[in-house]
Amino acid sequence: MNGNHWTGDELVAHLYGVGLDDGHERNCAECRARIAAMRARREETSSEDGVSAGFLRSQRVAIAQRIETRRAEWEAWWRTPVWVALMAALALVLSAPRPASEPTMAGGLNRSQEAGMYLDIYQSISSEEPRALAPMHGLFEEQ
Amino acid sequence: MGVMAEPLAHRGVLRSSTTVPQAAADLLREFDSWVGREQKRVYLLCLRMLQDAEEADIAAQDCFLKAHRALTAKQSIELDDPSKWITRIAVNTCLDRLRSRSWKFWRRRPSHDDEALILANAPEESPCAESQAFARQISVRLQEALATLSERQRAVFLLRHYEDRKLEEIAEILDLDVGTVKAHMARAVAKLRLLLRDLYGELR
Repeated sequence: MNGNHWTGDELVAHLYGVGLDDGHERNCAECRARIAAMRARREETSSEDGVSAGFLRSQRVAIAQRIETRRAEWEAWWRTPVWVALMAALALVLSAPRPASEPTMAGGLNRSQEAGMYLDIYQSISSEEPRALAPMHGLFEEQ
Repeated sequence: MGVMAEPLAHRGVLRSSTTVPQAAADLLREFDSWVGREQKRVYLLCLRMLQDAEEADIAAQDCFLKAHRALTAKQSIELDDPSKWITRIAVNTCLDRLRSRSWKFWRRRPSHDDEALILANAPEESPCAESQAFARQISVRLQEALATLSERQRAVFLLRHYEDRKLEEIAEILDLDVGTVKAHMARAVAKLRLLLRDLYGELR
């Protein structure tokens, strides 16, 4: 603070929003007017941009072209995987192994082997002698 | 539904903010005219951030391309402030470019044909006028001085100096807290002290 007013640096700080909020701006019409004049100077110097209408037009055309190119690329990209997926599914279907003529069980037995197995089980259950004695009987059987 | 450009609060301020929320689908429908309204401001922001006309041109195009992509993908959303949204995209695009620039070992020089095209498209010099001499001089010095600022400091300062945005708005655009924005601004103002003294000196 220089006397009753803000210094030059304080004015700049307030213009850029980093000054101390001491309430001075509300109470001092002179400092308020200085800030307003500085803001006007800033806007006056900022309006010198030198960007031509032609440049902006060509930039808009470039933006529109890039959007269109992207859209076309997106559509092409979208179509390709659909065809690839369809072809892959078809290839899978065609290359799948065909079923065997006689279906096999989980343990690898076909139906006739399965029937023989059940017969063996039935015979071993219905026989009164333990199955382990059968080879010994064979020793005494007449030829 | 159209976005009405807010009357400029002060002469020369390029900001054209809308405070009315707008549906993405509506903005997409009138995309071309929205680009027309925001384009100059976005390009100048990119130019001041990147300090390279060719790169700023591409960055400005990228901003609108990103915006178009986002609007196309999420048409059901509503944007609180499309102007602030595109500003955020622009600042982030420029920060990304500045970061990637530091990894470049050399900068590509355009071919002779490209160079001619760039020169043909380059912003034209406005007619020399006595009253604009000071503004031009300050503008050139400011561009040089901006190079001494860090990326964040530059973004914060530009949004205040050229667009007269509040620090809270800047914080929102840059996704920073207000205290951090204040710290960046204070450092930027301190670095540009001499230049700002020349700019405002006689008014104090």
